Amino acid sequence: MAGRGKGLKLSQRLEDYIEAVLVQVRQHGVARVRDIAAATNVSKSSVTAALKQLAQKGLIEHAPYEFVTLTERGREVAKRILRKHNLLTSFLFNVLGIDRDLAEKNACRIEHVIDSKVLERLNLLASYTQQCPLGANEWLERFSAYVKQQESGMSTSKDEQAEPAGAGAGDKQITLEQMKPGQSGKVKKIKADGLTRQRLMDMGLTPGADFFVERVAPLGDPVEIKVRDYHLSLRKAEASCIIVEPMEQ
Amino acid sequence: MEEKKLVVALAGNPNSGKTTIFNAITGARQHVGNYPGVTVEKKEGYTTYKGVRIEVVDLPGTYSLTAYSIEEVIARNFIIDNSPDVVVDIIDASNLERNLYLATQIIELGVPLVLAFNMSDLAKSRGFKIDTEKLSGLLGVPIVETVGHKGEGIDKLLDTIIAVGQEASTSVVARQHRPNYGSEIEPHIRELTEQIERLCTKDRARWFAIKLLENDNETIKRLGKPDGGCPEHLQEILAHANRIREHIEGITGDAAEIVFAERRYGFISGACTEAVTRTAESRHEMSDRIDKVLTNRYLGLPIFAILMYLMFQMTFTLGSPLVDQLDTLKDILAGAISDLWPAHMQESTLKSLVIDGIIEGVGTVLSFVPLIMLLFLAIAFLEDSGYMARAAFVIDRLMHKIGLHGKSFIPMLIGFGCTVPAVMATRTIESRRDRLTTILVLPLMSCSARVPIYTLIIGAFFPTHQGFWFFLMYLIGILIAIIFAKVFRVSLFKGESAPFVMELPPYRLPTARGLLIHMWERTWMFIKKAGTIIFMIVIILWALATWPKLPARQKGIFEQQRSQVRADKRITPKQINERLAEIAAKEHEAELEYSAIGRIGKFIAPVFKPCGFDWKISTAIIPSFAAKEVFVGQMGIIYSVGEEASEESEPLREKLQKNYSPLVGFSIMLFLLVSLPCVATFAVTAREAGLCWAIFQVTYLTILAWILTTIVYQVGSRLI
Repeated sequence: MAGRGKGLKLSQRLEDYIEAVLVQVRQHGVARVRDIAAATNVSKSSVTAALKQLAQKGLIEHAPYEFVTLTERGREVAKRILRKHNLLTSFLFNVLGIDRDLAEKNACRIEHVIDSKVLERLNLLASYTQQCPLGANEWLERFSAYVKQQESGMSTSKDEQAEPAGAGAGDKQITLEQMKPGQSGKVKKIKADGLTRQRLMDMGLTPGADFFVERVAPLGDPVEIKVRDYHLSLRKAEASCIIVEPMEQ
Repeated sequence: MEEKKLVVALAGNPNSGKTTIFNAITGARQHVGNYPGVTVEKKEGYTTYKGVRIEVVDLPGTYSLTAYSIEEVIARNFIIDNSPDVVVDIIDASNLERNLYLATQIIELGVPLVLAFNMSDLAKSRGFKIDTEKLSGLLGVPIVETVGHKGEGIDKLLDTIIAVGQEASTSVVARQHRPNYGSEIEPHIRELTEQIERLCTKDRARWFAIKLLENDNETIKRLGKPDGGCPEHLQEILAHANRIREHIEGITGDAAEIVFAERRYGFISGACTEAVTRTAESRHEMSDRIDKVLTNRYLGLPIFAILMYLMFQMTFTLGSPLVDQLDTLKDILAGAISDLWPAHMQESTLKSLVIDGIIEGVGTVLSFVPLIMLLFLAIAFLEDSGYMARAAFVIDRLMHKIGLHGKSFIPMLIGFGCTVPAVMATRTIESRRDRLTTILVLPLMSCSARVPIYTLIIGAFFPTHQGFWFFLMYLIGILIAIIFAKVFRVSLFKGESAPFVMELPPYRLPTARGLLIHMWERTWMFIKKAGTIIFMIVIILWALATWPKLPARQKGIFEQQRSQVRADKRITPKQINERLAEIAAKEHEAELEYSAIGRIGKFIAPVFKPCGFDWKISTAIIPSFAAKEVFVGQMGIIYSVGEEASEESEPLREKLQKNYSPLVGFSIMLFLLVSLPCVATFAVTAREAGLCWAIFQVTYLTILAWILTTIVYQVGSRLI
């Protein structure tokens, strides 16, 4: 934790951006303003402004119209933030049993304010649950049963809290099947398994891939999309296994 | 001079132009066969270039190297087991990212690799500027730009293959850059790799590790084998791999397979963004514009219907006269041989074998060749132009409803012409399950050989409303096909249905050379393979109809009758000829009754009794296995209306009317529609799907035909 970046004070917003840059670099090898804007849900111009600030602090290198790369120092800072994010997400998801989307969103907010000591404790608790004398699964199962029992009366409150103001599409998962011709989006998650999953992966429909819905077949079933610069058709049954994030036009 | 030899394997995505490169390298020196044990086509060829003999094996076209399809397993096992000196991955340069995905997997296999960026002209015209030098540096793999159909870049590709092939493979592989799976995953891959190296094999340990993390069944099996694997440590390694998988899923929230694929694509996108620039944003490409019309919401289906109709019309209007001409040619040949035959041996068995057996039987089947060539030409055009994928796209919904695939439609349609090319056309269906289902129900599409039968029976028993009865027969076939496609899907081929994730390749103008090669390959396959089996069965059928011969005493009776007629002074020469023909027909009937086929017919007649058939019909059904329309001629022979019996012949119709009820007539049509497909279909199914499936097809169709006919006849005869 005590890296060179520790003395550096970044605003929440800048922390989010540098984290997004690292995620993009890991996913695609490089980061582009367009992708960062899509991932953080803001306009390209605000991304550019933020990147400028990060560049001034010597965390990234970014000349206009080129890819964003992290400096040695920037990479370390970003890794630290991303680690916090991952630890928090896995704690919320694995221990508290909060569903992944909500866990992600909360981790995004907590990561900026949590002290490293508290985080480490949470982390220890998480690993303790795994090796607890009671048996990891039993412990978690009992807890989740208890949660269910307690929450059964007030199930809606959770969702309301999960909704930060102006977050757009909300918690409802949108699948590729629901997308209309002319819309574009990004793959978030693949829910199929076995052969279907493998085929979708092989054809380049991996999480993070951009796509554009070209058309629906005359009889209304297979849909045609453009992904990675080529045309692909898939049945609605398969499309409904793909959770997507629609892009604003 | 000592000749050096290199074995080169060609890999690549479907539609990447792999075949054109293969043809450009090997020319006519090709051999088409199957991979051992499976019906996946294996093409091999060779060329000699600068004193080096280069043997090229064309691997099946695949998008990936997982264990999910036979093609992929074959391609992968070939690379692992046969260790080719060089693997050439043909890349469609205009569709770079997805094509490079296969390349990353080949790199992970650790073999000397050369990338051929094919269709580089197309990539340029689409506005891609690829810095191949830079990309080659980023991947650590030599790249050669080619334009397959123009033969450009082939020499350079061969130079590169030789250069890479003559270097030690370890140093070639050491230069390659493998995808990096990131700091959370890499340490675990290393751990597992080290464990595999320690306990199992040093060969491709990293690849094994990655595949185990991707939960690849084929790899688990391979490690479980005593040779090259380590069954004693397998459980330990698998447990370790599973722990890592769970860990990966825990930190990323996605299955390990997804994470690996995602990182591979990430590696590719990273490399591409550095080495590829788009000079022009060419949004409205030609291909997109064509698609706007051809797959249009409203126009898509009508255009599809028109194209199918045109294909059918073209094939049968151009093909049928050629078939007739070949048929005539066959008769002329038979006549010529008969004339040339030494006079004193006119009655020899050998002559009968040559004329009635070989020329008649094989000739009939071979006379279909023009039809088949034209159909394959049309199909090659649809495939090479890129429309085939659109046709499947447009019609898939309908086909999926009945448990088939969008690509099953065209074979079904061809099935109305002839089942043989239809079975061969199922090759475009990638999923084996879909393909087998399609093949199994194909004979139920009333092919053109059923037409003479329908014409005879409908003409005899249902002279009014002929159109309706014709339509009814076609409809019954289609309905049974739909029902059985469904039945097979829930019984024989149940389980996860194959995903319909299909590329819609850009439209291309097919080259004449490509079309001709495609057409000829398949036609030749028909002539060669089907020809041998058909030949055999035709001979058997001929032998059954020839032996045992009428005893001399009975033959003598006919001779006696003949001389009596000839000696009769009271009748005109014309009457003499008529009487002689009558006697010949009677003799033929007696011969047939005495022959093995006649005896079998009589023997199995009780089996057909519930269907309403007597021994005469039973006897005529057996040779209809050679070709369905033979039934008509056979009935003619049995009813002694002379050899000239045809579906239009009045005497035969009258005889049928006199002897049978309309119900029996309908039963005959139903039985011949459903029952055992013809020899050519059997042969081609055996070739395409395997002998077991061919036998299964014959069996199920015949039993089904018997049951249906019995029900119809029994219920019908009680009602009427």
